[in-house]
Amino acid sequence: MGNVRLLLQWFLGLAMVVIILGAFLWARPAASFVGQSSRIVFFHVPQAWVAFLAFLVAAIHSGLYLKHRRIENDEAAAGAARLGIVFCVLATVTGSIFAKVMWNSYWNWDPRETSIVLLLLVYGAYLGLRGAIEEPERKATLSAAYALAAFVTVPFLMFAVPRLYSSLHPDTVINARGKVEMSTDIRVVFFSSTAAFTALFFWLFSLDRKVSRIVREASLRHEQELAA
Amino acid sequence: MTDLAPAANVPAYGALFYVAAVNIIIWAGIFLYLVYLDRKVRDASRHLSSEGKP
Amino acid sequence: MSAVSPVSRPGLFTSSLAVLQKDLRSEWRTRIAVSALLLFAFAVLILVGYAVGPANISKEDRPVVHSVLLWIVIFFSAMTGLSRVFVHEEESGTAAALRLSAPSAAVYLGKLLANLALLTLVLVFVVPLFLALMSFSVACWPLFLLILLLGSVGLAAASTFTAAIVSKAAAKGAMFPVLAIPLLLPPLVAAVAGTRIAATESEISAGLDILQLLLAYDGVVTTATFLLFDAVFRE
Repeated sequence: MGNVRLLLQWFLGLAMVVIILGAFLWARPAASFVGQSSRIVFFHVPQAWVAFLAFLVAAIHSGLYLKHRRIENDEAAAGAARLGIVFCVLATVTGSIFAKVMWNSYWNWDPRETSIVLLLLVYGAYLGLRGAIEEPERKATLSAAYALAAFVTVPFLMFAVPRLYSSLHPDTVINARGKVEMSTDIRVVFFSSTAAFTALFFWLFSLDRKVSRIVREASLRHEQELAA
Repeated sequence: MTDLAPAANVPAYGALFYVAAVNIIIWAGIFLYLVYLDRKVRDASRHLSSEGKP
Repeated sequence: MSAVSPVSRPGLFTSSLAVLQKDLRSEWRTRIAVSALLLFAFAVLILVGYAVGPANISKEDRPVVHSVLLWIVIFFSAMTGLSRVFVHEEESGTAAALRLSAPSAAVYLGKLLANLALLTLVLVFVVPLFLALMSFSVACWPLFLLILLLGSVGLAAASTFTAAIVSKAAAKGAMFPVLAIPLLLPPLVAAVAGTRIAATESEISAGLDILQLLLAYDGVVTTATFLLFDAVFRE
């Protein structure tokens, strides 16, 4: 078991190196992008994908908490939200750099920029709410309810914003015709990079859950020692 | 809207600086998160050991 | 999940109306929420009217600027008054009694209706004044009124739920808008877009997709918060 884990970790590390090398050396730059800037896609899009994935994971664990009332689920939801905020910031900053290269402006109020900022607001509000409640079970219930409410309302922005602004954002993965239009080298690097960052997310996520468990058990033992 | 087919002729190092910056920012962000996790564990264990001694 | 037992208690609708009645009566005694809301809305209106005014913007920019300003006034008024329904119960210690005397579904519906009543009052006060002060001309009245109606239902539903959460947290006054804004951004963006259409197009069909969007949001958010409310309220 431990050996498989170690093997997977080494594999992920090597894969990351190969992907970064491939992104710079093997994949050719795409037309209609400024210079070499299409290479940003291999790093920026996986961040945005992981930010949304973390939101999904947080919502699932929030639902599980409300169903089974296990504090592990609450810790997992909070951990996913913390990671989500990290990847959300990374997606926003890297996207902003890309916007600067492509359209010579760091911010264009593109629908996708707006939705990532809304996600940032949700994560911020969620973690802020957790900070404002002392008692663990009350914190878990209220933040789980909030996460689920946010989970059903946030997607509406995706429909609302395009009516105000038209998108400049390239249809990187799936275009209006619902087809993946990438040359093979770009596609291979792009999807391996997305898979690798997803794996990295789940690794960090499992680390976060373990840390949360250790901290909880430590404070429990601390209380028992004080009582004894 | 965007054609992702490979281009034949682009300047060899155009905008490569930005791609590198994006990479550095991503790994710095992940590193900061690891620092946060490390501090969390360390605080918890220090809490235990210092309270256990006296 | 639901605490409603249809057999032993009076029906959901009657008990929601009882909660609404109780809220309206206690509000009528002090009129704190109403006067705070209306005064705030009036102050913002004066500020906006004075700073922007009808004459300072070119004619083609007016629909955009005015529809944004109108919803900003409505939104911030909602943020000042709508949390009171639950915060007041927790602060005065009557929340436990409310939990015992009514099923949580009825409490939620009653509070939602109370907030909706409050918001309607604000709209009746703000919208005519805004139209007059800003010389805002509406091209399609049915669309304009429908956008206001659907927008405020969504605003009330999300705020009522957020108020229930906030009432049990620390720093209630600061947390309320922080939690409400992410939930309310989608319908507000849609409502602003819809109001702009109502100011420029005379046909209601021009804003049909916005109306659908708001209607879907209202339905989804009311259902979801209704289902989640029980867990929050009993905590």
